[in-house]
Amino acid sequence: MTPLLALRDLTVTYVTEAGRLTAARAVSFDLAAGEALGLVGESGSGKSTIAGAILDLLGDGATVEGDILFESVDLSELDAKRRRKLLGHRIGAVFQDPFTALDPAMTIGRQIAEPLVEHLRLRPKSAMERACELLADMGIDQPRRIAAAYPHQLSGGMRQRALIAAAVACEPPLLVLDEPTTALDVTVEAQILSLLAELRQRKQVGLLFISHNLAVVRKLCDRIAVLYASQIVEEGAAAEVLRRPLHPYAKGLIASLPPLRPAERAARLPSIGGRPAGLAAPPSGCFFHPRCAFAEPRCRAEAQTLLDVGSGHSVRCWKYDATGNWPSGAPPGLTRIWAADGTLVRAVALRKRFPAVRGLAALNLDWSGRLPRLRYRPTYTIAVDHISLSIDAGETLGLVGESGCGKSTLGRLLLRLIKASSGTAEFAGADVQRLKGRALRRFRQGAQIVFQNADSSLNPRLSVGEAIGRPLYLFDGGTLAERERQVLELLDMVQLPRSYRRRYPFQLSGGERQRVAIARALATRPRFIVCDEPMSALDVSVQAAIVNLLADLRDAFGLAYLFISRDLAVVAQLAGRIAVMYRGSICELGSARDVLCSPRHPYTQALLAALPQLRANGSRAAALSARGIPSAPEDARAGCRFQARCPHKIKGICETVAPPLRRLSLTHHVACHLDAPSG
Amino acid sequence: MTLYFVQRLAAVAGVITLMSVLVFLATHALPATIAEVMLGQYATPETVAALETKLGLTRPLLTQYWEWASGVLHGDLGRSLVMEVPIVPVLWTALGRSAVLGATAMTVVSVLGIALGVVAAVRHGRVIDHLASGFTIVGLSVPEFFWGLLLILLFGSYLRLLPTSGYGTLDKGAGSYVAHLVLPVATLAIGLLAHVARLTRSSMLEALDTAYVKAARARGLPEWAVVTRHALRNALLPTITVLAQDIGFLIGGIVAVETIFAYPGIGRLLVYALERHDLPLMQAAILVLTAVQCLANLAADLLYALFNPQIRYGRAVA
Amino acid sequence: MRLPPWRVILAGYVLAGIVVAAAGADWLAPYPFDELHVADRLHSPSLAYLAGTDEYGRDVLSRTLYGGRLSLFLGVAATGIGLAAGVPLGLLAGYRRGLLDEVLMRALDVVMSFPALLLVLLIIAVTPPGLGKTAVAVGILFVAPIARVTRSVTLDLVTREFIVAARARGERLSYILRRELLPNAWPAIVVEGSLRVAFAILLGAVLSFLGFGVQPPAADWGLMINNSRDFVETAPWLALAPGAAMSLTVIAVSLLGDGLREYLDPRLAYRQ
Repeated sequence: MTPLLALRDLTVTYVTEAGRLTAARAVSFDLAAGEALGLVGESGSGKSTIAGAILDLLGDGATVEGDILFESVDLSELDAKRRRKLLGHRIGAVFQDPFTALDPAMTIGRQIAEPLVEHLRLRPKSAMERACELLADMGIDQPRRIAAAYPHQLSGGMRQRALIAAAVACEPPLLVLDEPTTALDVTVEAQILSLLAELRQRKQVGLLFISHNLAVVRKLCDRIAVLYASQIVEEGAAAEVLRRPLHPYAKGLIASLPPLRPAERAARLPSIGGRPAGLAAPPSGCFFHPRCAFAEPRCRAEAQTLLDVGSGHSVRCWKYDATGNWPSGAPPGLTRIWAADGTLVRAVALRKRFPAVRGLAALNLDWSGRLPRLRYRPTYTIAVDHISLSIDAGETLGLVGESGCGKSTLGRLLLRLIKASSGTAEFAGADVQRLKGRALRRFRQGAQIVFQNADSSLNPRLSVGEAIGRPLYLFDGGTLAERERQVLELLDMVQLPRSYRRRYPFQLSGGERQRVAIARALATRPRFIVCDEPMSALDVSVQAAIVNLLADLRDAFGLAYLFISRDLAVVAQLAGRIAVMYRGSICELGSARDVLCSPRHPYTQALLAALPQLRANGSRAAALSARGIPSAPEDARAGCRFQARCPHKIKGICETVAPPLRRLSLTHHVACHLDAPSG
Repeated sequence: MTLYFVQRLAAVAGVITLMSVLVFLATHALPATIAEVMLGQYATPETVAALETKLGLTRPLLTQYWEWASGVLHGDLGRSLVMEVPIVPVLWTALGRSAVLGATAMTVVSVLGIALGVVAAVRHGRVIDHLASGFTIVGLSVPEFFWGLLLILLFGSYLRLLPTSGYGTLDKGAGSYVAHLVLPVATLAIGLLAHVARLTRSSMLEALDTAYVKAARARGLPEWAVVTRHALRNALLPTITVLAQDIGFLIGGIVAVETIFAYPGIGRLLVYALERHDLPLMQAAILVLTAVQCLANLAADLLYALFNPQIRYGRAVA
Repeated sequence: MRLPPWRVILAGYVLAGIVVAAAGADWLAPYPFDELHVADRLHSPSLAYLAGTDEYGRDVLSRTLYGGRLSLFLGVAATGIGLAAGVPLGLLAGYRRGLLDEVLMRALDVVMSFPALLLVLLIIAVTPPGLGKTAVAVGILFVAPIARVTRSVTLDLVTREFIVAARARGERLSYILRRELLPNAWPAIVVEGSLRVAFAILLGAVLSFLGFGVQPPAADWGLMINNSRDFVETAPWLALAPGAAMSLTVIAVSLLGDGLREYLDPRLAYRQ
């Protein structure tokens, strides 16, 4: 049976200022009709380049060699016109960012109808009808309404569904998806993945699914190909490769994924050291050898080829049957037990609202009736809604929630980077909002923050040494020589070479920049650090190392963390207690064990169920329905914030009374009417 | 949407009022200076005092402003000191002639300029892009009056094809009318063309770089459809806004062009008023021109709101 | 650092040449700019007078060289004034937001609603003439667009977390504006500034052309072109030298600004 898509020695090179860059090197794989192949790799691995080569989106700067056979026709040999005819008609594509992949000036329906008109020669009216049918197929409730809407009026999940509809409009046998769910929240991601699985079943579409997320790929794909630095390093059946990886990189990658289990305080994740190989000047021999735990001299001398190990499984490593498990994380040198020092940080009924629309612009003409009416409706977004919590010295509280739930805002409120609308935030017993002068300075010294985006958290014009030295200058004083010594010590602490102090941010990798940001936060000798999604922008292989670093520092200095993340698994690694946040309120708060192993709030349950799992367990809670996805900011409405999406909603009380955070046990609190004591 | 229009209209009214005050203050705040300046070398304390009384400059500022402003609202812009006739009819005719000049130039330029910008963007980096960019830079850098002189030299002196000054009234025949317009319009158009082309080019380059254009190509749409239906539509939005705001640019050009070609439009009227320190005429001309710019900005805002779905359809649907 | 595109380098050299020519006019010019050679009035270009003479017998080339001084001075002075007032305003408004920002934006809107030429004419017409005055008037005019550009760059920078990190250290406002914001904002400001210089030179020329700028017998490009109108048919060279000089200067400055904009694009801040 001829494969639907077959790549034979695909090689893509670019000419850049830095020299020749090979983004894809002799990549070969087959995709059968109706099969789903996952192409897994981190940033810089070349996976998007492969998609670009198939879809002819690479532009003039790229040289493409090798064969791309689609239904036995070599795409690279076709002239532009015939190739274009295939795109959209026989090959559909879905890209990563639904927020920018739709033309903002055209309605959804028209954008879906376009390929129908172009390829199937439908008349515009029939094309629109078909577009509405497609939207309905995607599980959208009011397809006509959505078809008439503009992209900015829809949420991310909706937009991605529309994009998928446009991609499958002409019933192509092949669908190329480049990180289609990366920009989406976990619960929405789960819905899109079920949609894709269902589409595949119904229409027998072949999927080329490109992602960095192994767990997602496992959920959807039959086979996996792992990419590292422009080469495929392992390929085989998904279940097989993930259960028993053979290539050290795959082993390291899988081992470094945090399991969704509360971790022991002394445990450290296995991690892959070093930086990802640069494509312009890759290492000699095996590209992975500088970071490989099993490297030998032979690895540096010999370039590795793909070896077939049977049953469709191949691996690019001569040692494949001789390597054991990826080494587990090194236990920390020093695990001090810090005596509980009492509450360090406390929030009491903290509330923050942002004005969304007010003044003249809040006057609206209401067209819903027969006559237009004038209404004054100032709207606010309640980012943080009466939240109370506390963090002890040396404790790590994890704060989990999806985008827009207000977790970042809460972190910044605690550090007085945003002014609270009401309520208090306390640090070491003092109201943070009222501090002045020296007390304020001491607070600033004692409470620091590490951000998500290492790119923008460092001043591009300051060298590493200058950036780390500034807080020392502000708070420690001392002579220049002393400060320089401390800078070097800090660099050691975050495991960066001392020579880096003269480098500039643009010369560092993402993981290295994040380490510098951590060193800068440490420079003031704080007692409390807010970690605002510090891992989200990093590659998976680097995340584990940073998690370990944070754990080490916590133990060495008795730091308290507020660890904010969307990823429950990462939070589980560091946090003793976890708070789950939904649209400004805390819905569940408990020890890591409580929340992860016996979640009581429907949202927490849905979150846990939606998380794609690498090591699957059987249970699956009901997926959240597509309805009621929050979009517009709203005023405070009475009732539980989650009720519109809750599968267990009790009519009446859930809509009118906001459930308070009730205590279930010594450590576990839930805000849900379902757990209300009867009577 | 209607509300947006009302809001903007109110804002414009506010700005024009504020500007009338500014214009008034600028010309009246230092009455001594005005009278002195007007009298020039004949300024002695007695003559200055006499002139001030004659012009009513000694009255309280507020009274003077009120009188003038209420006159304006009734459609009376005062009398020209030098020409000794009511201003409104003179101004109106002059404005009309300038409008013809400006509108013709704008029309010619819009289509040509946008086309040039699109072509340069689509063929980015190739010869035609460099040529277009070169033309743009030169067109923008050389002042209008120099172009005007060059054109006068070429068409007026050497080729003797076209009249180089004045205005052909319609009763002398359409030919004369058009002939007198050609050189001024052409001069004005060069600078404008460069502007429009450059603006369009950079907006198009941005639009062609977006993810949705990439997605459209991935759907197999022909390049022309991608460029016109997707990229151009989105690129025109910022272009329109900036263009309308550049009415100020156009007005400056009109003043220079009318001076070179002795074209009796409002630009030339303004210069005339400034040279002769004709206070009421000066005020009136500046007020009218500023109002024109404000209205142009308003039109730009409205067009932008009309064509930008994010403003037109605000509320989220799902 | 990457090498700037060839256009920038070329423009830079040309501009440098012009500046040198203008600054060194005392030595380079064959004759003083106001020296009359009545016998050789309206002489077409020749070996003695490389660009010809005007109606008073003054050497056009020399006057063109000296004219450069006035135009360049105007360009730099006006832009300097605009930057000195506009940049701090823009930084402060963009960083602090709130009432200051609202008021500033309204004021900027009003100022930018005036056609540029008119505003300057207005200021000039009501005060006695002089070059310094023109520079000041144009400088005041420039405060608005410069403040606006600075503000929008600042707004963009403020979302970057290193600014928040500075606040989390308790840094003072002056430090944040001076050492965190400004060093990252100056590329955009430089680009805007260079374009403003070009605009100032043009504006100054138009003003002189209309008779409201520099007064005779000073040598100024716009003034020279204005004078040449009467002799357009008989002595076309009168307009050519100053016109070409001005065009070249403005083209060079514009090219420089344009090229700098591409070169300093912040997207290239992380070149690897």
